[in-house]
Amino acid sequence: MASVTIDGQSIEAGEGETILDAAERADIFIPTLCNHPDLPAFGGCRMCLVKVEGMGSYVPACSTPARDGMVIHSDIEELNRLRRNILELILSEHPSGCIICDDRELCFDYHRAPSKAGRTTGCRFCPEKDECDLYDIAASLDIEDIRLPIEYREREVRRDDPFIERDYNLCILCGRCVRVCDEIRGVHAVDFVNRGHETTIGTAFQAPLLDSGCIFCGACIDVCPTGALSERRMKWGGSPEQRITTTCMLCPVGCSIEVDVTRDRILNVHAAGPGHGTTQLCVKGRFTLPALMQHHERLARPMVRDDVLKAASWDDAIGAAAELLRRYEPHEIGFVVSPGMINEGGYMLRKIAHALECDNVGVASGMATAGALQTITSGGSIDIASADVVLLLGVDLRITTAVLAVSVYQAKKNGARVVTIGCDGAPRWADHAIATPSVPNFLDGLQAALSGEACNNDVATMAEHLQNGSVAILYGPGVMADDGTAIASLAGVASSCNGTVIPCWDGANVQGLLMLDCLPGGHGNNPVRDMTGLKALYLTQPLPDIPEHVETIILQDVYTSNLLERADVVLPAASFSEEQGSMLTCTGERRILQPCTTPAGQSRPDWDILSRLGVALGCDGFAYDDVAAVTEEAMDHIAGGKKRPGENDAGGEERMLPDGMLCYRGHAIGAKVPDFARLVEQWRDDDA
Amino acid sequence: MHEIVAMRDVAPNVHELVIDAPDVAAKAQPGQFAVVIPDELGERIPMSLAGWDRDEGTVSIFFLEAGVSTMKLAQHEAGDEIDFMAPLGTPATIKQYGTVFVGGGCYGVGAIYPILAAMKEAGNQVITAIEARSDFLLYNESKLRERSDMFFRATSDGSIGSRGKVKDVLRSLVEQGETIDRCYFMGCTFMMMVSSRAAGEHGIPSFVYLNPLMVDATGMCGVCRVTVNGETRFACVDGPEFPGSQVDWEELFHRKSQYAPYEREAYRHTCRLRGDRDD
Repeated sequence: MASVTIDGQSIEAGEGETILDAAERADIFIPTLCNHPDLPAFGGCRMCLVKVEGMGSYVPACSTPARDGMVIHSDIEELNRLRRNILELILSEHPSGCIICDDRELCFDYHRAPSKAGRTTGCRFCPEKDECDLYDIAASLDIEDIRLPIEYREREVRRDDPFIERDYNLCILCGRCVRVCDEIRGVHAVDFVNRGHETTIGTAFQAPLLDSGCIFCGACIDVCPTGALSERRMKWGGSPEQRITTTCMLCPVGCSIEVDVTRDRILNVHAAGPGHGTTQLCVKGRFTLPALMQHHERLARPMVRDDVLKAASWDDAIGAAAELLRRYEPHEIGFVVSPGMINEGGYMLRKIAHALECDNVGVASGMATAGALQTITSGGSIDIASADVVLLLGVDLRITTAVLAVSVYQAKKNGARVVTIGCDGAPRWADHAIATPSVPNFLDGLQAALSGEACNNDVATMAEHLQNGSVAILYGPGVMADDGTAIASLAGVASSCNGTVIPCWDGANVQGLLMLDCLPGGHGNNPVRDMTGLKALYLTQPLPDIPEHVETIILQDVYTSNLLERADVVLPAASFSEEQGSMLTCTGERRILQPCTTPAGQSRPDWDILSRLGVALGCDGFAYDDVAAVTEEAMDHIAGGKKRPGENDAGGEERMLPDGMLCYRGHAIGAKVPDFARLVEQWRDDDA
Repeated sequence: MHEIVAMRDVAPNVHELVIDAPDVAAKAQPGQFAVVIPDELGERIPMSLAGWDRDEGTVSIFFLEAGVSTMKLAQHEAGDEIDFMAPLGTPATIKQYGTVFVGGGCYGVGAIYPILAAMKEAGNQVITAIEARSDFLLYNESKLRERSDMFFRATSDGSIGSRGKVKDVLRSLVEQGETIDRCYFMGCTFMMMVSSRAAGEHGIPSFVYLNPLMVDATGMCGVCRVTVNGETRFACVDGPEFPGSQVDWEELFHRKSQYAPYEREAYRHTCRLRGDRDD
């Protein structure tokens, strides 16, 4: 602890705190433009200069550690004069007529909505109008005039990228975007370009972001203090009416997100912030949700086939579904749970299957096997960021786990050795990137080396690293591409080195659904792999290649699909942003979902549909008043410990599921969000 | 449909549109306006006629990119065809009044020209003032200066001319003893409101050219209703010129912002231009 005095106020500064940290904790305002809570100190903008008694010159508060006995002055005229000079220099190159305009207040009263122009030439044209750091600081320093020649840089507004629009005419060169991209995300797609007056932010050779290795996580937009970086679709969204915290269900990381909602529509998505686990998101969570959740292909009405599909009431549709299910023997029905479903929906589907004494239950995910579930418990339990060795097996860090990659990069910066094995888009900062043709073979070799068998040098070195430090192992679908032996080897490797295993599932809630036993219990088949003998399917997402012997399909889905041609009953389900419940992340944490908007059309949450179906089937225990009771039952089941014996993971028909990480409930995100399709196409080209 | 002869960027977000329309050019008079429809899905936007060449058969319009429809319009190029209807509205009454003060802001910097030129032609002493937030947003200066007896520029940040707005130029002139008989203001609604208030403070009659939301622009639909001197008037046929001191500005602003939430949403659907559909 260090005792400092700032503007006459005594403050106890904590270990490693800077003067700025201490001041902020004591509610003392020191202006800053380049500093950001998520980023290490930079000391670039010089707005936070303070005077410390006994020190010769002014020091930046953001990068000067608070030392015991310091007497600091932050609000004296000589400093404010300096700050005004600095800010005037910045404003002379930032369209700021509005900031100092005498009619500003009156103008804002009348011009409530911003003018949605191609170029921002003043506050009225600025997407940041409602929350502008520059204006706040200018106001705090009483800037009323800019005594310097004003320059508009006349730079082209870059609109050639997916999602992101860049107008460097507004940039104040604070470097937040450069730093978050490099120091937090480890991507380094942008940097300062040119020198002196010509300095700007840009990619190498001013290429589009798409060609620069950018992963479109949107972190740069979130930290930009001006309107220079903005999300094209949301640019003029304005302040939301509501901000609701929920969980993103587009990958198993399950980030807590804050969803901006206006007039019952999702406008924008942000990371929920430090209090909720992460300040970072990936392209899917940050940019695709509004278009995905509100897509025009959402199923809006229940339908029942009467020669052709016809709109029906919920009661009629549920009745028709129950009637169809009653026609078949339990072993003739298969239930498929979508990994995009939350615990409550998955639990209810499993409950229906069991009530019908049907054991043909499966999760539509290539990774959802009992063996994969067991790997979680085969090793230790550490934070990725604190690992000494991080092993990445068959994962694509850009898509599947872009947010976990933030922790991996943190570990790397803390000195960890990062090894990628059979990964697409392996980060440039990995210590070893091993492009093995067969991840399973490599694992076999590694396990042998760990148990002391002779092996080649690479593997032996790797084994040595694994035995000397804490290990985190992230694995993805690449490990599953065999008969299940790789999983067994992986579990062996993990237990030999006490490694923490994190399965980067190919679906958002695979872990939750596996913990809820959404797999066959021993006398049934997993219908996702093996449809032999099945005559009726209850699907919660589309599946490819459904054999002709399946006579009846009940489809409980979010979007329309080709499957409507075969479906007998269609039950529109609410999307995850419209329902309440919970999911389990790949690190085993339980995350809560809250409804952000009302369900599209007449759609209902999965649990609700299945509860009604259970009642219609005459099964006991299906009448629920609300979702809370379902949640409680599902959580009891997960906490119940002993999982079902598990199916035979191997065998069955070859069914090529689409890449779960590019889908929501089996529907390609790119088909709903063209910008995302562009991005994925670019990544595939890069990989090739 | 009319062919676009030229589309020029004259300042950031401000564009000059020149349209081939000989019949319109032959009949256009100062103070009249056109309705421009950027594409089949675009709204009908009233825009002041900023000039016409009766020999060439062209008319020109200055417009500010301020939303989806104007953005679509700005993406047109010479050679494209657009839907366009003019001349509309009652022409300005041009007489010899003595000294006339003409103020323009935003698109009005370009569009005020016909009134200025006609007033000069009618034997008035013309004082012109134009305003912008900063110097890089001003345009059309030499043309305006040519027909003006006095010419002033005002910028919010003082980067060129005097610091302030057209209203401040007016105040300063009156305070220096200049006698001004009439004022004409053209620009955004806010500029016209504060400028005509400033004129009113000095007892000078002012005239403004209103641009409320409009649909048919021929007096049928009533969307462009404005209250002037306590009476409901249609900006399209009774105007667009009205005495500034008699306009109910509060109501006008209210009516203009009526569709703001939809405008925001429309921007997010620009998709139809870029193949980026939302829903």
